[in-house]
This record gives sequence, C-alpha cells and structure tokens, in this order.
Amino acid sequence: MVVGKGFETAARSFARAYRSPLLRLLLVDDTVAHQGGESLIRIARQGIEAIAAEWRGGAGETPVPTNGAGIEPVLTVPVDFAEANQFLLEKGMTDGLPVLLPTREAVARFVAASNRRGEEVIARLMPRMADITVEAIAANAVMAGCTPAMMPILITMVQAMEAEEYSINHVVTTAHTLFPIVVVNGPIAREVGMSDGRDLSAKGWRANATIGRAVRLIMFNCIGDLENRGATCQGHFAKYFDALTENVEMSPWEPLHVERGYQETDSVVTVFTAEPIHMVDDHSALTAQGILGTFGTVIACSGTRPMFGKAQHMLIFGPSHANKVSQGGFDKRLVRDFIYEVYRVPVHMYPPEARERWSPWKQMFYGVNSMENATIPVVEDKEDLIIVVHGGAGPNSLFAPGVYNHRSVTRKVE
Amino acid sequence: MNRMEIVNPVARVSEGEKAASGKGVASLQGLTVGLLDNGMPHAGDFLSHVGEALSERYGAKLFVRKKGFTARSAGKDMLDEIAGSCQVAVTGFGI
Repeated sequence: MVVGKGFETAARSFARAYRSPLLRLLLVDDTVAHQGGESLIRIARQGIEAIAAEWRGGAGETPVPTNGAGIEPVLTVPVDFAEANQFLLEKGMTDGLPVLLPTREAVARFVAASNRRGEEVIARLMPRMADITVEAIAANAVMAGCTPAMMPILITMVQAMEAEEYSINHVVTTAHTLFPIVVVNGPIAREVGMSDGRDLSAKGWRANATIGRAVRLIMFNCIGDLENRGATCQGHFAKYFDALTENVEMSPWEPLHVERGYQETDSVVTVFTAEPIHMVDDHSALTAQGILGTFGTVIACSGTRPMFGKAQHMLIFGPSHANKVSQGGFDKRLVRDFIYEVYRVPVHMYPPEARERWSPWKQMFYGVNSMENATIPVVEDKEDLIIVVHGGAGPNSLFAPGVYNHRSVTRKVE
Repeated sequence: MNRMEIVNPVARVSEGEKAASGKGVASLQGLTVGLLDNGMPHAGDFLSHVGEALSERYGAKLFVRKKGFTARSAGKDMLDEIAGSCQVAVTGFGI
C-alpha cells in the first residue's frame, strides 16, 4: 500500500480492522496528489524496489494483534481531577477540554437511562470495528457532560452512523475538515433541554454542546483508530461542534423528520456530514427571491466538495428569513426549485484541472464540448437540499455544505 | 495511594476472526500484480507507472481495478476478484 506519510497510522488501523497481516507500506510525501508528469514517474519508479523487497520478505503467517485487544474495562486514574484529566489527555481519550470522570456509578446511571443492558452492542463501525456498547457510549456521554436523558439520542446517532451511505469510516479518518451535524427532532429535544437557537443562556446551550461533544468523543474512543485522531489538514479547527434542534414554533414549514415520513410526535435523530458552516447574511431584501438569492450566492461556488460529486447541502434558515420566504409563496419544494434552477455555477468558474475530478454525472452533462457559460446546479437532485429552521431573532441564516458520497441518515429514537 | 477507578471509555474489539494468513513471494517473475486505483486524483496515473516498472523489471502481469469512491471499501466482489487473480497487489491510501 502506497501511503501518504500523514496517513500511516490510519492505514495500519484499516489493516488491523481487516485482519490483514501482510500489509506492506510504502510511505510517500503527502503532496504526491499534486504531482504529475516526470515527477510522478520518478516517485513511482523509486518505490518499485522497496515494494518488490517487501513482497519477497516475510514469508509465512504473520498474526497481527487487533487494534484494541487487551484494553481493560476499567482504568485507574489519580483522584485529583486535574491530574486525572491530564492522565486521560495523555492517553488520547479526550478532546483537549476537561472531562467529567466516567465513574462506575455515573456510567451506571446513564446505562439505566437507556433502558438497555450495558453490554449490548449497538454497532461496530469502521475503521476499528470495536464493540460500541451501551456502556461505552455512556462513559463518553459522562465525559462530555451530558445528562442521562440524552442516552437515547446518542444511541440512535450511532445506529444511524452504521448506514453504509453515511460513510463513517471517511468521516473518522479523513484529512478533510468535516464533522457530523446531529439534528434532533421531536419531543426528546425539548425533554433534554436542547436549544432551538433562540437561547442566549448557557442553560440553553448545554444540551446542544454536550451532545455534540459526546459525538466527537465517541468517534475518538469507539470508532476511530487509537493512534490516529484523523489526519486533518486543519487540525481541530471546525471540529468542535454541537447538535441542533429546529425552532418549530417559529417555522413556517414542516420539520425535517415529518418531511421524512415520521410523525410529529416521534423523536428522531438525523446525522449529516458537513464542511464548516457559512453564515448567510441578508439584512435588506424585501422579497423572498432576494433572500433566496443571498442564499444562492453563498451556495453556488466551485470550491466545496459537493461541486465534485453527488452531495447534499443543509440550509439552516433563521426564522426571520424562513417566514419572509414563506410569505413570498415558497414552501420547501419551491425553495429547492428556486436554488436549483436559478443559482448555478458557470462552467468557466471551474479551473480546467478541477473538472477532471467532476462526478460522472457532471462529466456527462458538462464535461464534453460544454459551453463555458453553461451553468451547473449546486446539487444533482433538488431533494439533496436539506432545509431546517433553527435560530432566533435576527436576519441571519446558515449554510452547511455537505460532502460528496455522504448521505444524511435519519433514525427514530426507540 | 490516591487513585480511583473509572470505566474505560475506549471500546474494545471482541475476540473474533483470526488474522488472515498469507505468504510472501520468493520472486516477482511472472506473477500477476493487482493494481487497485483508490479513486484519488492521479492515483491511476501513479499506479500505471508502478505497473509499468514492475512489468519491465520483473516481468509481472498486471490486473487493474478501480474503486467507485475513495473512502469506501472496494467491496467484497472486487476484493475477491483481486485475491483470486493476483499473488500481490498495490493500492494507495491518503494520496
């Protein structure tokens, strides 16, 4: 396997997950992706001898210890809070912020709140394929500062991440600056005290922030490789995230879970993989089209991942914008129609080299003999524009670009 | 000793499948080498140069396949095909 140097630990993690003992690594400079011509040939030919030598060596079975074998169910840490946190930080088990300690008593309370047994395995997810038990989720939820009532949300989120279309292994191991957005709809959002965006108090932020934090800790400790926290290009930036619920009271449209076929009274979790969020700032438009136009100009750019393949986008409307747009006669379907039809990216906005990475669909429609002023819709299917309403007073909204070949997944809380 | 016990937040890998077995090769002469394009930019170009060199220098035969999406598995069918047709294989990760 030819591996970029920044991805060595991730590559070994995959080898362990697949129980593959004969994986030989040839490490190359991470920038080989930007090499071409003679430079690429030189790198390839320099590697041949190393590849051949690796294959000729090591005949016979080579058992590989599984990643995570030998992990003890209980840790012994200093009683002092700061020292215990330092201990966990050095073990790579935290996100860099102080954590609450997952004592047996605290974890037991969280397990009890789930109405499941602690040893129940909710999922096994790539790359590490570890047993993500209710107890493991509970321990990370305690550390994040969650309340026990949030356990059903976290369990449902892990279940949703198991869907193949979510591509969890990419989310956990990629260098791309992306993160899961967790949307919680239905009664449980209110029960656990989630903010629909209106709260300016810490009390309102707590649930959103701790659920989001638990997502990240679960990804670290239960899904990803123990030695690799993701070879991200921009480190931690944009990796601290929270969850959200919709402002149903002030929204003119049906909430996401109802749109997806659930009852309004169902508690539902949706996971969506997003790039860093961008604000949509419109203080002056007097028409629905004006506001949607501002959205459109933020969305229609050529430098985000969705521009290269089939992806979803999430449009997070503030209530002020949503109601103005609705008053102009736009329901969610017409919002999608408008963005898709009107706000497109001209072919000439893509550098020629970037067009080589276009999806097969884009190549077929716009790649051959296309006019430079032809325009490409921001999504391949209008339904890939996900619309939610979140926030309080103020003429602002948010745009969360998706990632191509990642689909949002919705599951009901059971 | 001022220490306490906490539940380990790290999920454990249960006892499961044994490690896949396999052997190295004494020589590359006449072997079939699988080249799995992982879909990253220029991966196909890079592997084609690798394949050319292996073929020229060691007389290896080439068996080329390409994944649909970089971050997903090639799939059991494609992997079985490569395993059944090749003695060794090359792919990329993170490049």
